[in-house]
Amino acid sequence: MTPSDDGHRSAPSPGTDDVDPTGIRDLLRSLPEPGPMPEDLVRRIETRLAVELAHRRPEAPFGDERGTPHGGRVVDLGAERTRRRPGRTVIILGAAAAGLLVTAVTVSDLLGSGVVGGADTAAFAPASGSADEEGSDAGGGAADEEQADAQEERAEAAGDDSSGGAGGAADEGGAGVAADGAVPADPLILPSLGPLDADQLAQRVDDAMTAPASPAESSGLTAAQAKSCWSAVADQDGWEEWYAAPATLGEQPAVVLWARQGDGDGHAWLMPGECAVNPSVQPLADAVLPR
Amino acid sequence: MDALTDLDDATLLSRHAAGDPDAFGELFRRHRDRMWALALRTTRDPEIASDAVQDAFLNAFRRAGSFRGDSQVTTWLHRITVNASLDRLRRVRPTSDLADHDPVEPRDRHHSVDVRLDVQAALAQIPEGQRLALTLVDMHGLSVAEAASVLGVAEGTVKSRCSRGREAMAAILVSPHGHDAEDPR
Repeated sequence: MTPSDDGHRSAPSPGTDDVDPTGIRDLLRSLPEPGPMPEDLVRRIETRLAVELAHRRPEAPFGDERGTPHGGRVVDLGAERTRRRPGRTVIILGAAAAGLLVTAVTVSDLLGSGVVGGADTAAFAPASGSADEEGSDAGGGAADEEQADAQEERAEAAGDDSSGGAGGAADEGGAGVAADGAVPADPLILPSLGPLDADQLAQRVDDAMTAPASPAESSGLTAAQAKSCWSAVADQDGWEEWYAAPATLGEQPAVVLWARQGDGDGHAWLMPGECAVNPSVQPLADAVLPR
Repeated sequence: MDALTDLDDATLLSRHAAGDPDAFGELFRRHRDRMWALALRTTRDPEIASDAVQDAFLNAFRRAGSFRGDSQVTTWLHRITVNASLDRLRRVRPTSDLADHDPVEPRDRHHSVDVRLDVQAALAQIPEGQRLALTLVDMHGLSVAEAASVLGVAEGTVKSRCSRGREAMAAILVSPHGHDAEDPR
């Protein structure tokens, strides 16, 4: 027998198994179906899937049929790089990165700890805007075009990863990227985990992944800030999915980062909130996630 | 564009992997009741089953690109749901080996006892591997080959587990006094 393709099976056809002298098979077949999935669970899962969809949509447009320019995976990176005169790109990217560094240091000095306020998610907003905005402002003028090109290249490289994560972030020294490793181009940002202790890390992450969430629920953590925090994590190889969520540790803002491989292995890191603007901070704790 | 409801599962999964924002929703609509039933029968706990089936659909959503097409999408979903259910069960009862449960305790059987409850109780008492095989083959209608694919074991193992599971259930359902709750033969 082959399963029907509409999700509903007919009664098992005879001959698919050996003869059952006990009659138990007939008894089991006679048991009533548990009934449809409860409506509240349907809504919960649909909401969770909507969050996933919202996350992946920018990376995997349905371009082939909808006419988007790049279609997510059809750009020839080699041709693109040749077209862009790599020498000029390197020079101007260097200038943009230097500008970003100056801006980041300035912002950090202005903010003291680098984080405004002390409560929950709003604490992660730098006073002068996101790191992306800083980079654009600092680079200014001609740097903008090339920085946009670099970001596009990173996005394209990430688009080659069918997991929807950002494993292939082929950065070229662009703004906000640590020198010692690739940074996930677009970690999935989830709503705040709230107050937590370091020894709750794995459990709270697990709860966050299964709790119903609203797509409209704001995290308060921007993509640039999440990337900045991820830059501080040394172990970035081999993950397929990257996540970030704000939290609080005592009275202090914190950021929880975690990643998973395709086989279910995962790891989480508890970062000081300062990582949102300072990618050189060290994790406060880390934990292996249950599979 | 084709109406999603007219497309088969493999096409929907392929379109989802290619970025179609609506394809997985149709797969979810199409299979949610069946996977809910499977999770419920595997975990025997509505709360755990709720979490498990959510895990399963999220995993399927994220890993659609890894589906190789060498089995039916329904078989693939069954496998993901069974694994998610077992994962959830072991998180809740990490030290409990379901295969080592004691046989059902002797009960004072009366002919008025609901046979359905007896069968479900008996099913709950047999080792996990046998229960999963019976759930897939006898209750969900999978073929032995499909169940073997879901469970990651040989077809002979599934046949053996089904056979031993049925015998164990039959033994459980026989009253201590030699009367059957319902003669299963």
